Amino acid sequence: MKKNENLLWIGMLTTLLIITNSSCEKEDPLPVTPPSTTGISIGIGDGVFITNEGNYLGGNAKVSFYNFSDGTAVEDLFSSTNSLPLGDICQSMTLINGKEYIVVNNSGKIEVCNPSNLLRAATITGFTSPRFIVSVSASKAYVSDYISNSISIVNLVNNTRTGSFPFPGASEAMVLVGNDVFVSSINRDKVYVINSTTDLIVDSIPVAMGGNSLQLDGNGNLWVLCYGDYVTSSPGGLYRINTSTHGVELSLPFTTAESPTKLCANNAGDTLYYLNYSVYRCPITTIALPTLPIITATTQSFYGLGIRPLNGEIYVTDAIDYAQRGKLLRYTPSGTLLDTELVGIIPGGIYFY
Amino acid sequence: MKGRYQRVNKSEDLPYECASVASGRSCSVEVDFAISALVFLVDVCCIDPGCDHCIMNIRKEIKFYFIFLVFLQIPFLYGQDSIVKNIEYDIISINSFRNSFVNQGLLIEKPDSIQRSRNEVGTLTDLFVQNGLFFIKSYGCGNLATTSIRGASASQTPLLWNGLNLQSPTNGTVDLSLVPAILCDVITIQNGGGSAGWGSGAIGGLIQANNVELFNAGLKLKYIGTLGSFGEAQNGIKISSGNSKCYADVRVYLQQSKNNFTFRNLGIANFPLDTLENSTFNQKGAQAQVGWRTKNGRHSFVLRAWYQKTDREIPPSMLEINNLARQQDEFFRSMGSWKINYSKISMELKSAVLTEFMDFYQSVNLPNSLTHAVSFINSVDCRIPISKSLITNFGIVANSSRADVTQYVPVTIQNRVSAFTAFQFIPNEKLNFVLNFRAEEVQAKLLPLVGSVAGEWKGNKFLMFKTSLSRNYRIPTFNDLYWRPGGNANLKPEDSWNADGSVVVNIEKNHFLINYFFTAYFRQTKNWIQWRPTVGNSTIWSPENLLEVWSKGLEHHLKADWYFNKLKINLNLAYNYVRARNEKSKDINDLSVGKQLVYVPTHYSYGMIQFTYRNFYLSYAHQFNGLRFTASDHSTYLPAYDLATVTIGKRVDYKIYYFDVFFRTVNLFNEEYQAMSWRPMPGRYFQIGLTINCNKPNTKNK
Repeated sequence: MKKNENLLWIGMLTTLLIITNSSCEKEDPLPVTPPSTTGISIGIGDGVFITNEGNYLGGNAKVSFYNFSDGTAVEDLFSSTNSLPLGDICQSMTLINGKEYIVVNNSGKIEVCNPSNLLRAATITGFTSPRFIVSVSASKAYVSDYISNSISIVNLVNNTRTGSFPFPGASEAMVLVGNDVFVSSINRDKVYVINSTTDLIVDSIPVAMGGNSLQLDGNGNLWVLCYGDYVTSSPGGLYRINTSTHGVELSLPFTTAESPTKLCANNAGDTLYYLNYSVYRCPITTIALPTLPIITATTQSFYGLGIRPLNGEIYVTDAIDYAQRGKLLRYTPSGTLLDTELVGIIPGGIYFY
Repeated sequence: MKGRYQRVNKSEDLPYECASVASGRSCSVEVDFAISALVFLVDVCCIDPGCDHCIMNIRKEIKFYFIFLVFLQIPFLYGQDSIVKNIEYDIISINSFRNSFVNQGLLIEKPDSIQRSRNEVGTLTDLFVQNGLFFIKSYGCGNLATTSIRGASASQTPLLWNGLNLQSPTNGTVDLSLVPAILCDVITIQNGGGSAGWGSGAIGGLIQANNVELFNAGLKLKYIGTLGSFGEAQNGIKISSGNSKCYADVRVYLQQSKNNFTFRNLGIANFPLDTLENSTFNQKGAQAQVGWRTKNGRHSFVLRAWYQKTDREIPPSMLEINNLARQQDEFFRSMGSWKINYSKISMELKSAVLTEFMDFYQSVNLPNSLTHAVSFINSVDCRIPISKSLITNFGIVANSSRADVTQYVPVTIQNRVSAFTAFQFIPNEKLNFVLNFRAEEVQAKLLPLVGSVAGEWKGNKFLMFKTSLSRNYRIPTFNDLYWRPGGNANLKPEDSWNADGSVVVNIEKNHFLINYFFTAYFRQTKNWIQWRPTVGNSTIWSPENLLEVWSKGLEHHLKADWYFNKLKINLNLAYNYVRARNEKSKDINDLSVGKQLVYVPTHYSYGMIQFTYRNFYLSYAHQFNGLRFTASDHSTYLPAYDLATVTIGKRVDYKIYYFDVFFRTVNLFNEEYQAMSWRPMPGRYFQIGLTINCNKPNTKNK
């Protein structure tokens, strides 16, 4: 009887185990490896590059490419062409002398690539925390830096970093006007003017803290967008600067709760756009900040912004949860959604080629 | 093992010693399940030659102390390994009686004596990773390593040191690389929620690292040292002395490693061989404890103090440029406990001061980040048997923490009080039920009541069923609440419901022993805190109660021992199946909904086989870590990997000394893998270890 009882227990147990184990679910599907893109050939006006920061220390920075003609996107063009990861935090890319200079912030390098397929031609190393690059002549460029309180100098002929000069804070966006480079800073309340021959700071223009983007307009004036400073509760602002006199001609403050970023303009340079949770635009003749957005964000997390030079279409990216592929959203110039495509993680920069 | 001893009906005043201690010799003990009319039978048997008494009827007085041992699956901890003649400590008086109330219905695991003896120095990271107890998220040798029990986050599994939660008030995690194995006499791992019993944080599980009382332990000296590849040197010394009235114990340890291993850098063209830089690890510390008790054993006291300093360089990932980061962690932890033991009531009063300091240096241009935290903890824990089948336990814990992180978190004080109560109902020898409740108030704000109900049913001689349903929670950390910018003082605690069901099979014959347990669980966690850029300001990150995570899984664990004359074979097999998914998002474009969380493997398994012949041993351990996704929408992943470890060793006994020498090869097949994205991990490496042990038993008459 004891033996039968034991057998009964064993039987019940086995049945229980079989039932529970067979209810295991299907495995999660694996992502499909995209095909190699070494053979792809991108021409001028074919599409737009999107730089994706990736997660800090996650090593998943990418450059995506959206093709205008068929509306498809290559999520990771650099890796699928070069069979190598791009690095950690891709901050920006700039077209200089027919090559794309891709700044990879936390890998301390700039990848110099052929724009037709992003095949790597050279790598410039030696930076601490590079953010943006601007060419000041055919053979020289400046690279701004987040940590080192300096700006690096790059020789564009042999693509090497040749040195640096001190800068009073974190350097961010840079614009060349004539022989001067205007540099914004996210932890200083000034825009600095640097003589690109002497590499010396010749002037500083007072604005708000958090100067994150610069944009020249069709009249040759320089616009600066600042997001303020959380710690001191100082508000940001939109400023128009005369590049000859270095005077601030217009000063439009935001509230302390707002944090505007990604100032850009259309091809004609007569309309400005920026992100402030939603997408806003205003003419360069404006005397006040726009009150209503052109594209209203509902549940999205808009992160990048760009205006297609050809037709004024608005391109916005949504970073979603900052841990998955973001989305590129394409709108008509008046703000009607046309289509969406998946790009990389935390898509921050939109660069039309 | 039954029938080897002569039963002795001898009543002792003090339930803590083996009968032979009365004759003046410290005794090696074996604990044996005896299943008979009284369910909670535990035989504590002395196995030294000539010392063959069993304290059988001690169990009547001590059965309630032993309840937790029953559910701790004693056979596969103690019932084996007759070669290990001296268990280091008086295993009986291990822990608080809280365990008997809060571990009900849940499966409790312990690294067994074999596993412990192979990793007596080093950190808990080494112990857990090499003994495959569960998946560890490790950033590499000596670096940050945290638990991931059942897919829970690092801050959802507390680690208790003698009942005190070591989770940092600032970030809520315990870095396993900062807990040295030499201090942990008994390690218990509970899979499944335990907030009702132990408070905030125990959503995924709970790890306890406890010291044992050393009354009558005699004089013990132990040196443990290992040398390994990449400049690894781990040293520890334990000195303890105990008689029937008091004991003292000091442990000093020093461990370091250069970690300058070679790896293929997959982030650079042509994947060149590279050497890990900026990776040294240096840890030193000491713990002292002093215990004493009154003659009749009704009152016992212990004071413990633990100091440790760890200096670590933080190596860059394969894609990172910064090779200057380093971190210093320093802490001083002290506690005192007074246990009062009467048959009608038992109490423990505990008081502790935990201080910690962390200095993180990233680069020459950024200021150091300095974290300071102090916690004062006072608790009273009471147990009263109301009747033969009903026991109650209740108490209060008051915790006052003060912490700051320079530049980010201003000096903030947080006061918490929680009251708990539990009832254990034992209607007959086959059934056991426990009800637990806890209420906590944080900064004078009452949190939702949590509780658990659990039951155990002994089906028959070899089968037991356990089940448990609990509500658990985790309060936000100082960083979550007060970080500037971005801290969110309105965060709600994470809230979780956990249901477990287990079957335990225990078969014991003359020459073999099998323990098998199987658990199925289900857990729902709401208000899971995640940091995201704030709405409208993508440059400032802020925590929110964002996720709703549903997890479920299965756990199998088989332990088997065979004895053939002088050959002993131990087998240990485990398999965990974990599904943990986020089911909620506010962004309509979010593709992560319904997908497995990042860095949570669905499959994890571990197997170890050890052969012991006379005093030689050879073991092979194999660990399989399943595939882990690294983006929340599953667009990238890290492949599964295997790790194999082989150890051979020999033990030599000489009078009151014994020596143990081992040689180990870790990552035998030189597997190239990444536990975290782009973090280099070492290939095959070696360790050699030596233990010198001297036990001089207590020779004084009681």
